[in-house]
Amino acid sequence: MAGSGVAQLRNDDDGIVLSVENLVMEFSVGRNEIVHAVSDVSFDVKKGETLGIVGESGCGKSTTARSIVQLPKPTAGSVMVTSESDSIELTGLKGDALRKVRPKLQMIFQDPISSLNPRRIVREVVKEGLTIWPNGMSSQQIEDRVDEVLESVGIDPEIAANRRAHEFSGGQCQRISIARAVALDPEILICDEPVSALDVSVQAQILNLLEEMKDKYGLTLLFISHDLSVVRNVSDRVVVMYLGKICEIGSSDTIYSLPAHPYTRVLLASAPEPASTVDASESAIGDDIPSPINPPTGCRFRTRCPSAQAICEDKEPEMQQVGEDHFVACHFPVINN
Amino acid sequence: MRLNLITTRRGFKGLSPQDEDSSQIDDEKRDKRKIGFGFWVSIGWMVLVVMAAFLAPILPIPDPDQTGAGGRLDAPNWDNWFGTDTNGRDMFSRTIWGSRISLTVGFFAIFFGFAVGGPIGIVAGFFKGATDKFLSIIIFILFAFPGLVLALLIISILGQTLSVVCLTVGIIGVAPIARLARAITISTAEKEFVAAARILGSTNRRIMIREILPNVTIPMGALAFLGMALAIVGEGGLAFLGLSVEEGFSWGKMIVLGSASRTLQKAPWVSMFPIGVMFLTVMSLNYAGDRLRDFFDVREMGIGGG
Amino acid sequence: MAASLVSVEDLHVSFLTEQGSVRAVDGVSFDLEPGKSIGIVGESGSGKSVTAKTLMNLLPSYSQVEGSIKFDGRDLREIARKKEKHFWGVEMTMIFQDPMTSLNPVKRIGEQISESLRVHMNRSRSEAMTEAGDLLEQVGIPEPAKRLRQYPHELSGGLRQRVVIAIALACGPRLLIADEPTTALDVTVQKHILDLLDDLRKERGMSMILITHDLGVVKGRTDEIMVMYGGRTMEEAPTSTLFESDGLHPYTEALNATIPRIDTPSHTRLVPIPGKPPEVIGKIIGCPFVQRCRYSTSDCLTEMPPLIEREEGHLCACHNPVGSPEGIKAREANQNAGYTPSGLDMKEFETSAVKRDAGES
Repeated sequence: MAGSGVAQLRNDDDGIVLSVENLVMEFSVGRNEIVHAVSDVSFDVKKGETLGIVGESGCGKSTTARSIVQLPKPTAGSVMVTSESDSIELTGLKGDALRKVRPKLQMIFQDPISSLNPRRIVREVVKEGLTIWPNGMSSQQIEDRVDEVLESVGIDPEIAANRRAHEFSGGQCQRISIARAVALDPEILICDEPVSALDVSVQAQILNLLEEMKDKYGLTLLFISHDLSVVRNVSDRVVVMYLGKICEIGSSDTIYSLPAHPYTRVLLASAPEPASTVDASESAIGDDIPSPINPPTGCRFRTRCPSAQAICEDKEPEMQQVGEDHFVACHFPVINN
Repeated sequence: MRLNLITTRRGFKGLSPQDEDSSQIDDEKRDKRKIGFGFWVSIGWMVLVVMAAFLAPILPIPDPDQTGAGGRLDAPNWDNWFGTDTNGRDMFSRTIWGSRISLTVGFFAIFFGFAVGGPIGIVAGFFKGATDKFLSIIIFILFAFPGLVLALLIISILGQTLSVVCLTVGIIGVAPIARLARAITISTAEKEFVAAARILGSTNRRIMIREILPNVTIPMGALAFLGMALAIVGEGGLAFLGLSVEEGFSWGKMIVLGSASRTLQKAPWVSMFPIGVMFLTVMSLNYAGDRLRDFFDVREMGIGGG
Repeated sequence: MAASLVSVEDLHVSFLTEQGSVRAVDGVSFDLEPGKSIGIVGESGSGKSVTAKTLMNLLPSYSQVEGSIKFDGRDLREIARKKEKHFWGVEMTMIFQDPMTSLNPVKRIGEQISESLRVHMNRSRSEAMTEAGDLLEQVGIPEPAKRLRQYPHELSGGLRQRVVIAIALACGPRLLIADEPTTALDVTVQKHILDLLDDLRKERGMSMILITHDLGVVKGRTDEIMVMYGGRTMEEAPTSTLFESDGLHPYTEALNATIPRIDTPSHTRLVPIPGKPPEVIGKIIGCPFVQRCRYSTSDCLTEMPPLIEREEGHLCACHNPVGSPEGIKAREANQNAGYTPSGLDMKEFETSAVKRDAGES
């Protein structure tokens, strides 16, 4: 997998708004043990794109998201945000300098209820960002803006004015979180499993709403999920992660119709309604996902890979291009389907 | 409304599909849980006691220090509702006047405990790391002293005035309050809305005040009632050891005076009335605190899923 | 018709609370033959879990049950009243969503499996432990002897769920109820567990009730499917029949339209289900789905549709099922009027969101 692989990064002139290079996130736990949550991950996102990050638990997708917003700061690597031809490197920033840049990168979370302060009035929650960064707006303008974002997510501003989070449903709370995020007119919106905790009938609403917000406010989306179908539906490009590494990255159509990495193929074959592009019998060996404290040497997926060979243990595969906008980190990618 | 009586799905798909027409929320969905009649009775008693204490100087009751308001050790009668003590002083009046000190200690002790312990706990829980370690050691040291030893120490050094007694009981309260505040802060700070506040670009100070504090004060507010009860009892304990205020008298002191064995045998009311009033007060505070805690707990956890 | 193993008829379950009577299950009926499996599909609040718990006698004391539930001809409520000791866990067992809370964190795995063997089947300690080891092998856990001595936290989620299955199957039940058994597991593990359940079921000739919110999970795995909404059975049919079309019931059709599929291209518009779920307090008049249904007519507001057999083996509780003459007529009428009889704007079905072109990137 992506040992030192940046082959997948695209040219700067192409309207890139977010560029993550060689991102590493390690935590120490217990006695001298380190969790390798994210190990050398690189990708970029163009303006107006939706990049989906998909993977199972422990793959590091949520940690990647948190590292991008510097909560906490990554152990190593760079995160560049570009807006109006101004590139800012986030990892080097601290204190007030970092705070000033924060409005550009907003986030919504998996659990809608705990995303909102239960003791605060919902309207105040949505207004919070604007209160911190009025940017010359008068208080009336701020109120108008709050009304505007609440309406665009489908929440009646008058009702929001005197209710708290627990008086709303999960889906409504998620809408409120979106309103809060969008109020500051960010460049990038990171969505960390935004519909995983919602009922099926509500999921579609929130996904449609995100799409609407994307168009209306010119957002670029980073969409993280374990649900392959949802990621397929919303993304333009997809990153597949496993145990802290990128397995495969490419356009959504390519990844789902011509999956090259054995892990991607296993994922697609294991879905309750498997993708028609893989054989349903291609499944991983064994239930045990290795621990991120002691990940396998060489290719991290080799212990469960149906095509593993000796070289997979010795040498970590690097990202290589296998098609138009299609990159894989594997010694034996499946090319011709 | 959905009731989470049944399934306990944690995180995955546990939330109710009450959405779609999101502009409408029925008023019925708003919490209908009642705090209960008992709560209001307790509050009623407290109001009564506090008002009596406040208005003592202007109430038409005999001077509490005046001997000869009745005979010696008179049983309760129409002139002396609570009877008289060994010096012929009216017990009813003394009980009311005594409450001024007991309640003052209760109130100021808690006030001090929260004013000092609260911020210590919040700062420790929020910043963690070295700050937390340092503050936690202070809390730990405070805990290490049995309340009594601490009281003896402070009072012997600073004397037996009302302010010292308040301070002492307050200091004893700092450690448990700080520990609770710290625990609540740590668990609150892990919630996503705090991360969201950071991502918005909020400062540490703003996050502590706007996000953490409201989540700490409400559960601790309920604790304040219980704390006050403890402080009143604490003062009583100090009185038993002769460590309470030198001038004037509190319920505790009255109980001590009334528990000399002959007095107890011949005139039990001399201590029973102060005991009774103290008991009712402490019980009311405890009950009210309990009810408040339950009321806010359920509310904030929400009633969702199923 | 072969004698049913499980027979549920017009089940109603409500909970008495401070705020009134909460209807969790409001008219559920189904039959399950020996050796067959049924998938119960519904969202949270549909009453599917409560139905399962009713069968397993796991309801709280403040619940009220009406209707008939029978296992192999015996009245389950009678069995509960008599407090029979060797029925639940032996003839009929259940597994839940979260393996971590299903297992006792301070007891070793072997002990937890042997427990039911010793209590219900009168095995000695050593006999039970040996059988426990066999069971671990049957559920596909490698190195069973080692695992017997481990604690739950030492195993991964998938292995834990296998242990839970082992415990459930220890006494050789004839019916296994699985309530969202794979929802908390990763996708790759999900498949293994579902396959395992299938294999075990066929080997043992066991019946199974598989409860899930995910239609995809039951497709191709269960013999029958029952769709629940608002505590009621809305549709019940053999799996193959149900998926020939998108379902007869408007709710089933709506579910199919709202779920993103792995094969459909990016940015395919998902059709949301507008409206709100029904109130559970008090009595409901008419169909619970009426507020969100584009096939509704005025009698849907007043009359609860009965569960009728529309086609062979295919039951549906709807006045105007999809594709039927009533259904087609009702939808057209609503389309022309712009509103359904319950006041739902027909536009909500078309563009709840901006149109998403496949061409945009």
